[in-house]
Amino acid sequence: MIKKRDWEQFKTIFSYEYMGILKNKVYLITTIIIMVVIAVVLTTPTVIGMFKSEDIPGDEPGTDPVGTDKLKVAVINNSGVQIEEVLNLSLPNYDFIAEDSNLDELKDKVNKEEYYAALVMSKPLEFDLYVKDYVITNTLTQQIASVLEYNYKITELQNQGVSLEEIQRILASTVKSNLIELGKSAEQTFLYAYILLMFLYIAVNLYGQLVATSVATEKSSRAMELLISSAKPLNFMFGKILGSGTAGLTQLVAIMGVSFGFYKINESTWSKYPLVTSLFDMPADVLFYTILFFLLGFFLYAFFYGAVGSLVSRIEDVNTSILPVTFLYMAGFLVSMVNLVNPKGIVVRVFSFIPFFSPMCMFLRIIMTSVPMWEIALSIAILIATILLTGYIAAKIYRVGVLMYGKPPKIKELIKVLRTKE
Amino acid sequence: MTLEVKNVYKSFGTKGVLKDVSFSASSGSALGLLGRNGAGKTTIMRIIMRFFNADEGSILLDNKTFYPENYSIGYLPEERGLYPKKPIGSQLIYLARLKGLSTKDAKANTVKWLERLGLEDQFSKKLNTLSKGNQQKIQLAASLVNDPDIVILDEPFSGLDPVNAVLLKNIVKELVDDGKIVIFSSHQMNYVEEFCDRIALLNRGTIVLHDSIFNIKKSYPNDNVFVSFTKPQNIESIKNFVDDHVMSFEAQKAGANTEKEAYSFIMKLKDDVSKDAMLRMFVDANYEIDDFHVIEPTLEEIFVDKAGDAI
Repeated sequence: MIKKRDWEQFKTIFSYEYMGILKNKVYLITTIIIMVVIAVVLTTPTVIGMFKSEDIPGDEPGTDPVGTDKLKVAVINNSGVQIEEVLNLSLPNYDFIAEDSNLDELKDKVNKEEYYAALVMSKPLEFDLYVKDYVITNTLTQQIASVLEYNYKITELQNQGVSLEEIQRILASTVKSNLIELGKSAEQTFLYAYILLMFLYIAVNLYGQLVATSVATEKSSRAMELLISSAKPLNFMFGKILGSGTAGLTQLVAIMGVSFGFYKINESTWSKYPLVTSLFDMPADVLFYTILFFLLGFFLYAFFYGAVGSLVSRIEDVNTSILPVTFLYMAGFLVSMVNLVNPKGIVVRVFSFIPFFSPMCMFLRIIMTSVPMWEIALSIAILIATILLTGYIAAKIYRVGVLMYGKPPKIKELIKVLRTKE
Repeated sequence: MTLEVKNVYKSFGTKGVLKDVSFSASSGSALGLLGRNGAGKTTIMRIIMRFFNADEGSILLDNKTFYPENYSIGYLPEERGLYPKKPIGSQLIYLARLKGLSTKDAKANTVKWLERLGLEDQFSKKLNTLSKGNQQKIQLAASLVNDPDIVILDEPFSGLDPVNAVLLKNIVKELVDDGKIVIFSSHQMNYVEEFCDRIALLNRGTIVLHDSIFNIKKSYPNDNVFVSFTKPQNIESIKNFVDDHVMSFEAQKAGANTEKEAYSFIMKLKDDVSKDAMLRMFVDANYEIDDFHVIEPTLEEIFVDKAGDAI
């Protein structure tokens, strides 16, 4: 009878909290903005591809400035080797023009954008390239260097009497190699490990703090006494935490859904980018662990945040009071971030069994390395045990905390509260 | 039903807040819990609501241990507040649902109570757009939205204007007439006197008075009489007439034509003089009397008398 009423109360509180967040304008707008941004980002290259003329040879996306106009590059050639023609042939996106004006004038013209760049060659195998703003995707330096290198090798070999065909055959020879990884490929997992860790960190923090703020709001608006005279404090705490967690999960699923959906629509465009495909071709178990560790991490920290929220009297005090909890979580995040390049390190291994850090560290190990099943099970078991213990303690603190106004209690008083039997 | 608080002790740290507090309240009558600030009124209410447990003693309903969650209770806390930024209607429905009502009943009761309080057009407004007094009424609606059998109101009159105080008074009267147990605390003695049958007076954590108002007043000496004559009387002659029988004598000059005359008088009788003898004296002397009655002490006077020693 009483059990049934508890369940009814829990359901009522859960749906009120859940719907409250879902109907919250900030939540709605943020979620929609994130989804729109993802959709736009994933669709843009396809749309650009539609308008772009396809007959520019060697035009690889993201490497060179895009456009049909050739970029002008001034050349001051003191090397004694005729090179402009070769460059023009090899790099058809650029127009290399020989100039005999002095360097300062050229620099000025580059700054005024009359020229895209100025190439100054002093020796056959040495050059300086002047550009106005250097963009990281710009590979002009490497392109010129390889043309020069290739040209130099051919000229030198021809001077040795080797036939042109022979030279081309030798220079074109390459080594075929395959790296076969039996475990997990760090190259493929790195990006999504990074993104997912970032995501876990932000999501757990965000929703955990939401719980703290929500509890503190009820306390500071003095609604608490009326509320707990209507339902049991425990039902409130669990309803609130599960409601917020579910709202977080809803947002997570919505964003992931939109990302995968728009990726699928634009798959042909993105298939050229291995980094992006690695992100979306992540194995199903990674998805599963993401959600699992989000939930576990969230519950662990939400209990903390809930208890802390119940102890502060004013909403302004929430931010400072939750700092220790946030730092604890941040520590796990930093350890896993630092060890992204070394997921097999002893630090991550140890941390992956400590409950406050394991949501991130074990997650990192699972997606980047091959972890024995028993280790995963042990880590999760420890985590769940800690969550239950934290939940029990948090419930006790909450019960007392919600009616306590004025100064936050001292640690000694808190321990006394925990000792009292109900 | 009878709700009984029995020998309750409670202390916070070393500070004893309640010492051997006992009182009871029954269906169909209102119990006024009186006491100065810090006397322990809110604490005892919170103990009844089981926000925390008493150190000693028990709360019984019909002689069985009382668990608030098993009954339909309306509690108006001293700390007023709800969600300021959420619509009023949805909050009340939520609270009614928490108190165990079905969604349909919760909705119907919300509308009913908003109408009863004259706030039916505020259903979808946010709480913080209302005036303080109306927020106070919403608070009351929140406590009563489940049509509770047991109503506990902590200082329900504070913050209400006279018109709303009358509205609340009528609601409490209705609750009592409907056979609910009503316990409320108040400083406003005139309200308490008007519709409370019984009071429990707390002073420094102990009950110093617990009885019906009628009995309490009877227990006070009733040797103050009020006499009113049909015609104005010369003050000096009346004074001489009663001088041997009274301890004190006071003329009420209102309405008299001259400074020396008065219609009515208040006199405190000497211990060996009965009211009957006094009245007979006037009648035998052919005075025409309009009114002759005992002046009872007001609840306020009793309150000050019993609780006035506290600092």
